[in-house]
Amino acid sequence: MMKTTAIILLCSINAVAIVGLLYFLFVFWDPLMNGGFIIIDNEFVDGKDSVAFAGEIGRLDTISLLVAYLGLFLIVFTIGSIWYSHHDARNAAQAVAEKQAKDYISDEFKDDLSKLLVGNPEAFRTAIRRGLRNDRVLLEEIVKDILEEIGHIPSQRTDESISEAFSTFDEDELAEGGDDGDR
Amino acid sequence: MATVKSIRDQHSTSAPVNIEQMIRDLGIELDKKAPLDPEISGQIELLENDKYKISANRDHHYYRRRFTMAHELAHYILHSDLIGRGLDDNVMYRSTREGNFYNPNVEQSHEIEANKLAAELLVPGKLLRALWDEGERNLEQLAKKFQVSKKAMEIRLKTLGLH
Repeated sequence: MMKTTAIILLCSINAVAIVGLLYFLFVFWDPLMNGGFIIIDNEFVDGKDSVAFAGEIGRLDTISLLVAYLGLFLIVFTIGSIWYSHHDARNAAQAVAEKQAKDYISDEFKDDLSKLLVGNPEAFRTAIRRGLRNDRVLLEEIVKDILEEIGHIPSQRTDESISEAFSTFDEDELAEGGDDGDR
Repeated sequence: MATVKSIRDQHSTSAPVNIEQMIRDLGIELDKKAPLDPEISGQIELLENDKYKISANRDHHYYRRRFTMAHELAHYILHSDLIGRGLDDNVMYRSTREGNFYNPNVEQSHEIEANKLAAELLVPGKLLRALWDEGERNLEQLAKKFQVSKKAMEIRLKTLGLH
């Protein structure tokens, strides 16, 4: 995606440059001079600046076009630079964050789970995204859910099984507890 | 300020998990013996003072109310942006029109998330794994210890790859 954008940007700059060059040739190339360019004689110019001279020969539009082209080039170049530096900074930050996340996962999780996660970029990114969004760091549970979703580990439970199991008790189980007076 | 994680960790060091204190420590009001519609297990509501309040149906057994409280706490942790004025859960732990706070923003996927987190809150994986490693491997004993059903304990053990 970023490569495509860079290529498009480069092509646009080149296209503008080529159009500018062709227009320059169209204006100043003189067929009567056997392929030569119009030569501006110093005597003829007589101390006039380029704008005054262009005004005299009726070519102020060329000056305007060149100035516009220069402006456009600067704008495109500035945007490109900002985009590139932003992209660069983001890549650096991403690399640091990724390393920290991998360290965290390796430290906190069981070996098999951390290997599975770190070795699977899709699951890894999803885990980080969800972990960040949730901000409660129950990452192990989140990771397991993701791995179940993408089929890396078989799903071991369903929603119904959880709510039913946690809210349904046998008579003997109920007889055991129920004293919550001190809490 | 204490975070959800720190409070959760603090209350996950011994079984049974003191879910009531965990709720209170998070600044949430708790009514664990609330007079609610028989079809409603519990609810969480936003009070006038911008605090949340969790209520569990007084007609339900304490063990069931523990799961209800954990489920509502899970909504608070995961779905505070969806709670609005409040939401309630019926006996199947779904938002229903029969309650005081029917909340269509909370979908089934959110209830599934809340159930999973509630299970983790009541039977913390780290604690269960530690007990298991210490040799406490009797399903019935573990269920009693955590004040959950044998079936629930079986699910947690399977989820953690211990059974």
